[in-house]
Amino acid sequence: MKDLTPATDAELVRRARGGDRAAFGEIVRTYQAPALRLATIISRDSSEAYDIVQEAFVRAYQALPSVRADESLRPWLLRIVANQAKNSQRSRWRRDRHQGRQAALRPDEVSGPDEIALSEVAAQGLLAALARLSARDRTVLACRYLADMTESETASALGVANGTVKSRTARALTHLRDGLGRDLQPEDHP
Amino acid sequence: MTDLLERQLAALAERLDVDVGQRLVRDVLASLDAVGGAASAPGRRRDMPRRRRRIIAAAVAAALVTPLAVPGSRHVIAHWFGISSTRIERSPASPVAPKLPATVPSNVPAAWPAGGADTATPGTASLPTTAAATFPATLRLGKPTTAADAAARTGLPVPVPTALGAPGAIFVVTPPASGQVVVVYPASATLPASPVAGVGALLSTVPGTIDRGMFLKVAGAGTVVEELTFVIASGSIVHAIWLAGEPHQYAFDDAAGAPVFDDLRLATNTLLWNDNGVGYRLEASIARDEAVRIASSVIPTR
Repeated sequence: MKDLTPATDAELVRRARGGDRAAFGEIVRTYQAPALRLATIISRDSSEAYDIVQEAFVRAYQALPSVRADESLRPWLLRIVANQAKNSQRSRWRRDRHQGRQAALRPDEVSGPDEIALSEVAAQGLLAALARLSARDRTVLACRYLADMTESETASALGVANGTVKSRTARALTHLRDGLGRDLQPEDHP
Repeated sequence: MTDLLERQLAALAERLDVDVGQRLVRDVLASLDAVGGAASAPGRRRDMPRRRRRIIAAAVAAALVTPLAVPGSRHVIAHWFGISSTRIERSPASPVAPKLPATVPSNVPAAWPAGGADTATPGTASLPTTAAATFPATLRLGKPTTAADAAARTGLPVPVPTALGAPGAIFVVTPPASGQVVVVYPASATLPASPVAGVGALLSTVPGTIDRGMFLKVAGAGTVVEELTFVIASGSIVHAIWLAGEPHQYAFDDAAGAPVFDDLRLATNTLLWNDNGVGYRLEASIARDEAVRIASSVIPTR
């Protein structure tokens, strides 16, 4: 995932506001991966994640004038994606499609000391357990771990206090553990 | 991050395959071109006259129909993101494919009520204030009513596409129990006749959402299904399904989420889309792009 400095984001926003579509295209390219992960987990429907994110970016472009100069672009964008995904996942249309289609997974590649191996079975078990969580639990976990947002960014994206994110995350993790116990427990790792 | 479950979630994020290359960038920019979204002027879109927005949206809608062809090597990933199923040839036999008569009985009117599409001026569609007295009985639509009555009884918008002009007749039918609105357009010089003689198009609104997933399961043999994206008159982007070929049935979820199966009365090409909690259905013997042009000009009237 590519991280841009705030200055770079600010420059892209400035150019996009001026009508530079290529600059907005660069914003889309930069943040499409966390946006797609976020939409997939919140909506519980991987098949609609692309549509959700596409529409979210269109809304974001139209709302660019509302971005404050001191505002971080990443949580601002992902808040729009999260809201779009939450609205979309209410639709039975999308829920039905989810049931027949599993998310695509890359081959497992452990590349860092903090990373752990996650088998295909364990990954699918996690996805299934996430899908059973409440929208609130799913959303906070998607922000924190799937979109790799900090506590502060998540708070900004969800419009709540940092402390609320912390408590919601703790509760959601507990619920996820309980859910995994019902179905499939990821492998133990040392 | 030390907790095992947290590390597993982080690992899951890396495992999710979200590599869509430049496709999303292209699709977003194409949508912006179509919607005409202007980032440089706060409130500009709101300031634009509604009628102008509608005209712009309708004019570009056909150009925004996105077949979304996907290279074979990307098929699996693209399919996961729902962008490969643009064209599905159904091979299994249809579970239910009601055949409607190709002709109508002798009580079919020789002429439609005044105010029908033949006499309407495109772009200035108006709703009949009195109930039409005649209609094809084989459509099983019951007694015609006025737009105001249909909207009041169902709480649904009466769909009026400026591309077709004023409708010939308006009905409230079941299912669901709360009713759906069906607007009938007679065939005209610009709207070819459907398999039901004299009828050019049916446009319906239902409470709830058209169930795309369910439909894909019940589409009959020979039915071609395409998923489309276009802009409607309000400026919203909608995802639609285009059905062409054999007669078919469809389903929608009512307001409570319960599936409701309904006949496609004209048994001809059909465009299905959702907007603002309402399912829309356009049945007509027309090409896909013409259907999109009509759909994109619909103004929900309550």
